[in-house]
Amino acid sequence: MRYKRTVLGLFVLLALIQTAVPVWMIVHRETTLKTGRLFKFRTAPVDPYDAFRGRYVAITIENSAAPADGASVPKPGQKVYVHITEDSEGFAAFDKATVRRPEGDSYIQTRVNFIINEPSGSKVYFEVPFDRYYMEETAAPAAEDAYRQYSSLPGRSDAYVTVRVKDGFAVLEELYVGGKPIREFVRERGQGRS
Amino acid sequence: MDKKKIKWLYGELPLLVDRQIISEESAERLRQYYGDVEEGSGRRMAFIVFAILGAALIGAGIILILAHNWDALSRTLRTFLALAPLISAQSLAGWVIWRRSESAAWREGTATFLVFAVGASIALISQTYHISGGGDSFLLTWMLLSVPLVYLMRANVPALLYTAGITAWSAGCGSGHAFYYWPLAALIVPHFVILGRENLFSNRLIVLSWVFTLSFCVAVGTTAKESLPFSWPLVYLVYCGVFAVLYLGGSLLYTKGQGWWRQPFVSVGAAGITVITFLLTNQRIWANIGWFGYRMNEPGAGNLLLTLGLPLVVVTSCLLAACVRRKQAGRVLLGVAPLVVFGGYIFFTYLASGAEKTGIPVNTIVPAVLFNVYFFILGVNTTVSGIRSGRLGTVNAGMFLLAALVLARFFDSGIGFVIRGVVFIIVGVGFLTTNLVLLRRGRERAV
Repeated sequence: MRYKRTVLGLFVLLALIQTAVPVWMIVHRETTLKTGRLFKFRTAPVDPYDAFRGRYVAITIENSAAPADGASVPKPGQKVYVHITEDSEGFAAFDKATVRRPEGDSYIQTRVNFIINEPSGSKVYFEVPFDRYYMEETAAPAAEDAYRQYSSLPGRSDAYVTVRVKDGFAVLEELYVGGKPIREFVRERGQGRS
Repeated sequence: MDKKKIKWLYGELPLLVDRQIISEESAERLRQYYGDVEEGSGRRMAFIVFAILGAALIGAGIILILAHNWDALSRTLRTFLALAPLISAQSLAGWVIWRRSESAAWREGTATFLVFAVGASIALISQTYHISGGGDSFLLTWMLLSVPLVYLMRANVPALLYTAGITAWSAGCGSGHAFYYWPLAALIVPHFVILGRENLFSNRLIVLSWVFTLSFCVAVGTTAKESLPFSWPLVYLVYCGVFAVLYLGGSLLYTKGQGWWRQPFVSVGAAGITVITFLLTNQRIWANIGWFGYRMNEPGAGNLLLTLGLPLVVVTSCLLAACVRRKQAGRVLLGVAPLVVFGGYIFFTYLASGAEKTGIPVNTIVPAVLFNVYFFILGVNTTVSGIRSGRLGTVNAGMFLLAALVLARFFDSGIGFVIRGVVFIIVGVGFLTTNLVLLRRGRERAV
């Protein structure tokens, strides 16, 4: 009986941890979505055959690399802070990558994929923490079409994502195509066709 | 010992007593020594299997339904959906621990369901919040949250899922964390020991051993690739050593006379050694290894062969000696393979590195011939031992090795179609005749 009690006690502890992990995942993201700073990132033109993988749209951000700043150049796999700036149209861009955590709230924390050394300095290619947008299974093909069309328009892409950032943690909020959230866009398009 | 064999022995005992080969007393003592063999274990096993299958199907079904990603659902509802299967699975598991802990079917079934429920809840959250990073951190979190179930619920299926999961996570393309496989795999070792102490030939342990052995072999490759870049030609030596350790270690661990399925270490080791030595009969492979020889001038490259090879040689030699002492000399021919490979590497690497300086073209024929001879002996030995013991399967395996060697050499060389065709026919006829002769001989013996 005592053995059983110990096992059950340990199991309850495990169950609490098992529940705490998803609950923490939810709380962390909800707080970021509610109180984080909003940024709009333009998506880069994509390879149409690579964009849609099953149930999500693979998102590529325009210019997703930043020059290394500061005395120490980070190594692949290392934690790095990427600073964000905004242009006159209100779109965000990656400015520079530093090993030290910057002040303020316009930066994301991520990891270095690889570094390319150029004569002008080292360029840091990093993991963009918002690279997919999940959609309902049945809406997927239409969404793929729309994203493909609007993200590879001649000139500038007409697709962008909104991202909320808090303390370097980024959560993707919405994917916009043709100025509308993609779900709305796909729904209207579907109605127009039928 | 294998329960089937004990059952067979118990069936024989009355006959042996009747014919006065052993006394009633000895028969009783044998029964006491081996203990009870539970009746109806087949039905119990079927119940366990169905419990696991049912739980896995329901769990996977929940994951698939959630994967549909219902757009109409609000985030609050999704939160509820993410946690509901998890909490119900946990409650069920808690009840099983308290009330049904003696039933293997309940323990395995609910533990399996809980593993899937943990995965489903994290997956749904990943979708709701568009979490990036592929299966990477998701898989690791899932596995770490599931592994304690192996011990708390004394369940084997979570151990199998965990082994598969950490292998996929660590071997993931360019993951960069191959080395973490080892501490993660160590978490499952106590479970191995517990099962082994209970019964070395239980189905649970055998299935786990197969999965673990295969996962171990994958991890050796990915770790070597990640931690020793530019040394990939050494992979034949490393793998051959690992397979020999599995083969010889397994031979010492298991009692003789078990089928191949019941001794996964030996089977995987033997198959691995055969494949590696077969590859090394090819001249082109040695040309690549020679390329490693050229790199000997680079700092550390030459030492690598010795630092990796020497420990492998020492360990293999110790295991070989132990096998000979335990009268398992039949294992030596396959078990000695890493020593032959190491010899080939040493000879060839130094020859090749010298050749670069002298400008003499590297001769890949010598080591390739050495391995052709070794593989040929291996084939002949297998065939002969099969004929001696009257096992048709072993004879065919040996002949298959010989045929593979002959055919591979014919594809290497620029020999014309007609001669190739003739050789194919000769090999085929050889197969048929040997089988016919052995079958007839077996029938005569039976009569």
